[in-house]
Amino acid sequence: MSTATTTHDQEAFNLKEWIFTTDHKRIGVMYLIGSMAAFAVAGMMALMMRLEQANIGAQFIETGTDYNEWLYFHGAAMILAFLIPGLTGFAANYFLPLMIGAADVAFPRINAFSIWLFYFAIVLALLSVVVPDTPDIMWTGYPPYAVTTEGNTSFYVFTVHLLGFSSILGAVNFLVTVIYMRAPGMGWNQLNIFVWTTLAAFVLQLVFIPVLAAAVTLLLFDKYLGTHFFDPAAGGDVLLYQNLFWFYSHPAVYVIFLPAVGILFEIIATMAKNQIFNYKVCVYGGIGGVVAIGGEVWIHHLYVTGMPDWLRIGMMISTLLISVPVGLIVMSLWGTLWRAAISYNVAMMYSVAMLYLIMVGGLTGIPLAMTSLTVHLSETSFIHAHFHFIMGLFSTYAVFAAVYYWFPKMTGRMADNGWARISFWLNFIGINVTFWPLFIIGPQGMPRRYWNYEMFPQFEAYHEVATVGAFLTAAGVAIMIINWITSAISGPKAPANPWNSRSLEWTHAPNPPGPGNFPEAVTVADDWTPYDYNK
Amino acid sequence: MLKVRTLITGMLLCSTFAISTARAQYNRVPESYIDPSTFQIDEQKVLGVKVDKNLALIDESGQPFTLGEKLGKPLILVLSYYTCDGSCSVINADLRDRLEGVTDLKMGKDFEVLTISFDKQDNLEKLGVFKKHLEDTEKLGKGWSFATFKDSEQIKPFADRLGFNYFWSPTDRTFFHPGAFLFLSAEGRLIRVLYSQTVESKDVELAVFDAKQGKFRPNEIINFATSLCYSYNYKEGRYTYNIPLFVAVGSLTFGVTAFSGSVFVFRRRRKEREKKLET
Repeated sequence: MSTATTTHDQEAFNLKEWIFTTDHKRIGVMYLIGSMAAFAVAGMMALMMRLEQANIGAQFIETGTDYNEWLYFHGAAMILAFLIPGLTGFAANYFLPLMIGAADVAFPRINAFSIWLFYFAIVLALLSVVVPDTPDIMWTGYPPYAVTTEGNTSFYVFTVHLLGFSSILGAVNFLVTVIYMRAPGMGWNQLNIFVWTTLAAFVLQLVFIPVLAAAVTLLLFDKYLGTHFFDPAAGGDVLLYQNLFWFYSHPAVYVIFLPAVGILFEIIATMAKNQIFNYKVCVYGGIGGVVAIGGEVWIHHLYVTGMPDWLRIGMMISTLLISVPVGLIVMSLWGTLWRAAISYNVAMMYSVAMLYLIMVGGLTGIPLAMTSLTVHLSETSFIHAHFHFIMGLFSTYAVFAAVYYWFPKMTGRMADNGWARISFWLNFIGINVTFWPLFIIGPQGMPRRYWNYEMFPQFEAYHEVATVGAFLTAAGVAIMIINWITSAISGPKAPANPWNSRSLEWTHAPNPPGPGNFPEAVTVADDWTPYDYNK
Repeated sequence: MLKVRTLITGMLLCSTFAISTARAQYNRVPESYIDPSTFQIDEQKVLGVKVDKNLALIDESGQPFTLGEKLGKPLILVLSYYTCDGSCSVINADLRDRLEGVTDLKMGKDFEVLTISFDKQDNLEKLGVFKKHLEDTEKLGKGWSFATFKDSEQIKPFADRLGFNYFWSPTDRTFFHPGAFLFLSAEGRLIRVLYSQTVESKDVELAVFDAKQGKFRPNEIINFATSLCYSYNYKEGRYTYNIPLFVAVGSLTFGVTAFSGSVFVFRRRRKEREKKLET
């Protein structure tokens, strides 16, 4: 094990160096800061929506467009500017090269360029909130509304362009990095699960994101150049936009889900001190299966539109089929905990919460895969609650868990455990209080995306409870972020390997790692794995 | 003085009459005026409506049958009248010519054509003469039938349901009506309306494919894929290329190309580095 001492934290802070850095770790931290900024604003929008919905009638809203604008920013920022960059930007950038024993990524300058693009996108997205005619097209941008609205659709389009291009550059970079820059001796079956899941997410990004970029570009042309690509009256195809959008955006769910699962595996294996249960089945059957099938299920977002029955039923089967690889992944997760001596620190508490979220989110997804049930549940708050569990909350918790787990690695300090636990319980109770009422009232007929629901007065009490939950969550998150900042500045010094992990980033790199990551070149033995706990 | 007053009064009266006449002429509906909407079917209103399968018709041999007997596969419906000496023959002849160019689908096997007269005066004799003038429908294959309504009271409701407006002009001694081909699905739903003046054989083929509503045989998968490349242009009344689909498919190659290029660059750089180290 190395005991190198040359680290970034020994250097004075220099803003210029950070802006022009090509170091993957600093870029990772910058992704974390940028994505958390987007998360904060998106969270505020969520609170405004919940406050508005707390009671029937207008609380402080002026027009319905206001609600659309909050919905736009919340959705677009959470998915495009927080979850995807938080997981494939922050986590992949910081930890992936360390896990494979690489000194940096394959193209450091391209990596730096992608963080600049990301920040341009974040600035643009934040600006869109304050400009007149704020975009009000949700994160989907469906025509014809996106074309006919007075809202500034171009902000949405250019934000997608910048984030998309940034993602493509990142995907190319990390794929080449994993293929060519693994430590000598490291075979494919010796990779961390997080490396596999990130690799899979980048493959999906690389293939599918250009389709979204193409679709929104044509949307831009329709709105500002007078073309009719999505105008059926003039030969356009309005449903095609929805197909193209979900052709990317459903795989985008796996772009978020897979790295989140990877983080979960790393924490669970370390805290349980166990090998990954069924490693090869998990990697080739589970992760590989999700990549193989993930691109053929997007139609389930469009069940209520017109389409031939064979297509609807075919996509229902493929949607149900994806529960097989996801099931293999979940089995590996639970199997890794089997007969383990588990350490319940805060990262592990978030991980256990993630197991709960994946179970609830996954099980509530099954009825939504079925065409007959979706017809009834579509556009109700049941869907709202389902995708928050499986995507929003699960993946957000993955980011939080990752920060706690690798906090000593990134800062060289330990996070305050007491405040961390308080914030965890506040936001865990908060999310349940927020979303379970929505699960209950959805099947009873509560529609999604209604700022006023005076026609459904029977649901008011549920909305009041959900609003209380949202504020509990916000309080928990606020405490957590303050705890991160104060602990990073003045927390106790972290030991070299506080969790006794076997993964290279803990065993071979200092806290935090310096330029080049490893003081000595890393090689691994044939029988080494990052989960060598049973030896 | 009286003369002047009379003259002025007379001039004013004449002016009034002159103006009145002019206004009357201006507002008068000319005898040959036709509301242009007569020739259009409001697709937004009628696409998707279902026809009455029990509609009773009489075929060219005088045998009764129901519209439902012609369904079960896509049906091209042409509403005409058999004493029409102008557009009806042209419309039906246009369809015949377009169908000659349809190569991937076979009339009778993949779809049927049915011409029905909306003129309650039409009978078998008139039908026979009309069909005789319309040569060579048989050479396209069996599957094109001609019929009249059994119950003339059903003509108007049937046409109205399909948004097909027509009226008799006593001055012109003719019916004015759209020159439209109505594409019905196997279940009898109106799927597409094409107009004889604007369509090509490809449009007819694509409209029949649309009328199949996704129910195609395995050997028609290429036709199905081809049909995705087009979308119906309501403004032009024909199918045009679905450009966004081409752009989207093309964009799929972007990521793969970027990745391949990156691998190439990385390997070349690595080789250069290794060479330098060797030297």
